[in-house]
Parts: sequence; structure tokens; C-alpha cells
Amino acid sequence: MDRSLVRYATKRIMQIPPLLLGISILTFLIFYLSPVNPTVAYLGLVTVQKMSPEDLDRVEEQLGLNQPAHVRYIGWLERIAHGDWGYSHIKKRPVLDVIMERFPATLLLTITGYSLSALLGMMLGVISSVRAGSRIDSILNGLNYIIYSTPTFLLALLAMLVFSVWLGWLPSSRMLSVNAPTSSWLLMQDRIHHLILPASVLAVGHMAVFYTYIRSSIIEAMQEDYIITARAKGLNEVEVVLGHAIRNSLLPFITQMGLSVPLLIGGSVVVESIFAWPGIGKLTYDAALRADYMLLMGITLFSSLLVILGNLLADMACALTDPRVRYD
Amino acid sequence: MIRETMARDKDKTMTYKVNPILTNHFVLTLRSISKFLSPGLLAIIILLILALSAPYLTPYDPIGANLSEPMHPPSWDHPFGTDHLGRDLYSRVLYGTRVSLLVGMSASVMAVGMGGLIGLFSGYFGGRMDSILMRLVDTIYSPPETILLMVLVTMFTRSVWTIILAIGLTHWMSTARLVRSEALSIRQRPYVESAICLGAKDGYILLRHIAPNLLYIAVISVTLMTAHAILTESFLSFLGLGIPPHLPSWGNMLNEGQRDIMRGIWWTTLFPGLMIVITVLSINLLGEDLKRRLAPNREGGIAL
Repeated sequence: MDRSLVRYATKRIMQIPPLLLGISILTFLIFYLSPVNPTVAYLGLVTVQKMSPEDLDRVEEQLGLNQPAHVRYIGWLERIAHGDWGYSHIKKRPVLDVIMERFPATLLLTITGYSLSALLGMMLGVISSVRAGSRIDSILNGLNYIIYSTPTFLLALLAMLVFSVWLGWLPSSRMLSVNAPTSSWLLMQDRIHHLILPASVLAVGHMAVFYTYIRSSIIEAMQEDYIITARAKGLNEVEVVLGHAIRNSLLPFITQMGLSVPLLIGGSVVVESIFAWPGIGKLTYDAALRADYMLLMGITLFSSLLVILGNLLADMACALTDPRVRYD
Repeated sequence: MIRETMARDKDKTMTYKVNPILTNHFVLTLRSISKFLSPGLLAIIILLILALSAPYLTPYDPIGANLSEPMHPPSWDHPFGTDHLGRDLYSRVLYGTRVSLLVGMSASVMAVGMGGLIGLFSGYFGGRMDSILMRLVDTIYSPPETILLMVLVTMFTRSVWTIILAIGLTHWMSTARLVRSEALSIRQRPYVESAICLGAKDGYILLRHIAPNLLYIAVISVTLMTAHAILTESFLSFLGLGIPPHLPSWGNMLNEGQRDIMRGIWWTTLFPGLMIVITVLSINLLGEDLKRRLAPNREGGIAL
């Protein structure tokens, strides 16, 4: 393996621990500075209301809530490191278990939506960049602008109205039907049937980013000398675009995909809470509505980890394909 | 001639080709805006007029319930129909303009102001302060914006100002980064160096030489950020985590519309939704227009 790549990777990975420390401090600080009563946060309002004052004092003592902030922070960090992320009182289970259980559903939804989005954005981007300045380009640009200015939840509601309520083609909520079929083949069909609507909404909602990206990078690439060379050696326009222009645009595209993780998580909150998709996004929504602070803290940490991972992958993909990046 | 050559040069590092004429350019731009109203600006002016004169344009109370006519489809009496409490949606949508514009603009001014100041100090003074501030930016960038916002609004008491504060506090980082890198490059220009040699104080250099050169970033960022903040507010309210539910905000109306949609009632969703799209679209158009006029040669542009 190339030495410069290893050096770059090491340098890049070394940046992560301080960032993790920063995130843990940030999460703790928000929690610490908020007017939320920590005992309520740990046990849930209902439990606390049932307890006697002596019990409350004992619990505070046990949880170390009467200690100064830095001691509490270190204690909390130790528990996090040992995998004890607290107890979710709305799900009545440990936070980490709940998050891990919900994660695959989010992964399924976002990866499907994301791939669709990238595919759609790339196709439209290529069409409009090849015909830059034409009528189809301006129509696509206008459409892109409107979608960019439309909140994803509005798209979701309208899609639900048209496809589930008026046409009745697709189910509007959950991951499986109530009386889910038993055979695995039918089960998969049922799941795909439920996946179509949320995944498409996610795809259309995010398309604008990909579209703009691929369009501008192809237009830029088309002015490079190697395109003239490609044309001069007699390639037709399709070969020039697909073989030369797009190829060079793929690099920022990959990076863009890695960097969109926070956007995707945001999108999954919207789509999952509207379509009742049992993933992390729905979990965040439930936790926020019913004030499950431990769960919220856990989700903040977990989603930050995902973002860091996404950024790392984007940088590594970039360094792998473009050696210049390694020497920055 | 030299300027022309430089303008033709596509080297990305040469951003300073815009700056010598910037202050002048800014005045010119303001003048040309007053001459040729762009469609975006025109739409925003109309929206502002609607927001300010909402009481005179609406025959009904936007908050009081009228249980005798719930869920009326659009008609001559109620052009946008009524909701489940019989409130006139046209009145509510118009009053919603106030909430959205107020939240959007305040949050955006706050975010850009904060980001601008931090970026300015970070880029100008450099050194340890710079690295600490930039690590702070990296840290706050790590949790997804949506999650951070939801955590903030859940943990603190809910009001219009909490929402503004929460949006402001989670959106200043991009401006800070942008302003920092610009301040860093301006700091190394000959005229700043000569000012330092002449004994100018830091405050003077910041105010006289650096901040004016970055004004165009602030103008563009505030515009684009307003659009983003309006979307964010409507999203939070839609989830039921934003503006207190009795206030007419577009997000709150959509939150109620979500219940109706399964019964095929479309007007409670469509009209507030359309207003969001129109508002955000026109602000974005204005932002693009400002970008074209204030920073025509800037490559990569000013993204949020």
C-alpha cells in the first residue's frame, strides 16, 4: 500500500479523538445547562412523582447528581465508555439497546433513498449539463430550485395524499402490514411495498444537492483541455461525456455523499416520523415529544459518530482516488 | 488591462480580484437593485406588506375557534377553507407570514452575526484562539443539525425566542468558517500590512479594512440563511416542537394538516405548504441574485 496514503489516513484518524471529546463535552453541557431536572431525566417524570423525598435524595446520591459538574462529566463519560448509555424511560430499556435495535431500519431506508437520490440527481444533472442553456436545462433548474425550497415534510404529506389516500396504491405507514404474511418471500414483498413511498420522498428531497453538484462539475469539466482532446480524437458526444467528463466529476460526488450524512439523518427524522417507520428518526421524534432526555443524549452521541464516520470515509475515498489530496 | 487578464485567470486562489472594487460595487449594486427589482425581491416586499397589514386583510380571527363551521373546503367566504376548529385558514396563513418572517430573519441575523464575529476574530488574531474556535466549530458541526436542534428545543422552555435562539446557535458555523478564511487572506494583503506598520490598532484594522471587505458575505449569508431558518422553523413546528401550538405558524398548521390528510382533506396542508415554498423560493432567488451581483467572480460561491 502506498505510504503517503497510510500517512494521510493516520493523520486523519488522529483528528477523531479530540473531536469525540469535544462532542461528549458539548452533549453533557447542553444537558447540564438546561433547566431539566436530572433526576427526572434519569428516571422519567412519572417515576419521580411516585417517589418520596427521602427516596429522591437517595437516588440523587447514588447517581452522583449532587457532585460538581466535572466529576459528574467524568462519571458519565466512564459509563458511556463501558456501554452504559443510560435508561430510556419511554422504551423501558437501555438506550444503547434501543438505538441498536432501531438502526437497521434507518439504514435500510436511508441507503435505499440515498441511492435513488444519487441516481436520479446524477441522471438529471447529466441531461441538463450536456444541454446547458437549453430549454430542458432551464426547466430542470427551475424544478430543482422549487424542490430545494420545499420542505421534505410537505413532499411527504403530498405524496401520502396522492399515493395512499387518493390512489390507494401504497401503504402510508409502518414497515410491515398489521397482518404481515409469514413466508419470507411475501414478507420481503410487503416490506418493499412499505419502503417505496418513504424512500422516494427521501430521494426527491435530497436530489437537489446531487443534481446541482453533478451539473456544475460536468459543466466545469467540459471546458477542460482533455475534453477537446477526446473530441479531437473522434469520440462521439456520448463517449466524451460518459467516458471523460463524468469520470472526473465522480470524485467530488463521492465526497459529497460522505458529507451528506447529517442531512440524511435529518431527512430520516422527517420521513420516519411521518410514515411511522421504526428507525432512529422516529425514535428521536418520540424521545423529543415525550422528553426522554437520556435517549436524546444517546442519539446525539450516536448520530455524531455516524457523521464522523461519514466524513472519514469521504476523505479516504477522496485520498484513494486522488493522490493530490494526501499531500495537503 | 491587468484586471481583465486577472478576471480571465481561473486560478481559485486569486479571490482578491473582486475586492479592490467591492465597496464601490456594493453601492452600485444597491442602486441597481432599486432600479431593477428582481422577482425575488418583489415577492419578499409583497410578503412583508402582507405580514404587516394582516389585520386589515383578514376578516376573521386567526386564533379564535368557530366550531359551527369546521373543515369547510375552500369557498368564497373562506378562500383557503377552514380547519378542524373552524378557523379561517386564509387569515391564519396571512398571520403565519409574520411568525415565519420574524423567526427566519431574527435567527438568521443572529447566526450570521455570531458566525461573522467569531470568524473575524479567529481569522484575524489566529494562533491559539483560532485553533480553539475552529475546534469548537468542528465539534458543533458533528451532531446532525436536526438532532441538535431537537435536543435544544426539548430541553429548554418553549417559546418563539427559544426557537430563534436554538436556530441561531446551531447555524453560525458555516459563516464563521467562510469569514475566517476570508479574514485570513485579507490580513496578508499589503494594505493591511502597511496599516500595521503605521501603528494602526487591531480594532481599527478590523473595522476599517477587514469588516467592510466582508460585508458582501454577510449580506448574502443573511439572505440565504433566512430561507433556511424559515424551513427549519416550519420543520420544528411541524413536528410539534416549535412555535407554541396556539400561534398561527405555517409549520403548526401543517402539523394539524397531517391529521387531516388521511381523511383526504387537502386544503389544510396545501395552502400553508404553498406559502412556505413561495417564501423560501423567493428568498433563495434574491440570495442567488445578490450572489451574482456582489460576488460575480467568486468561484465555488457562498454556500451555507
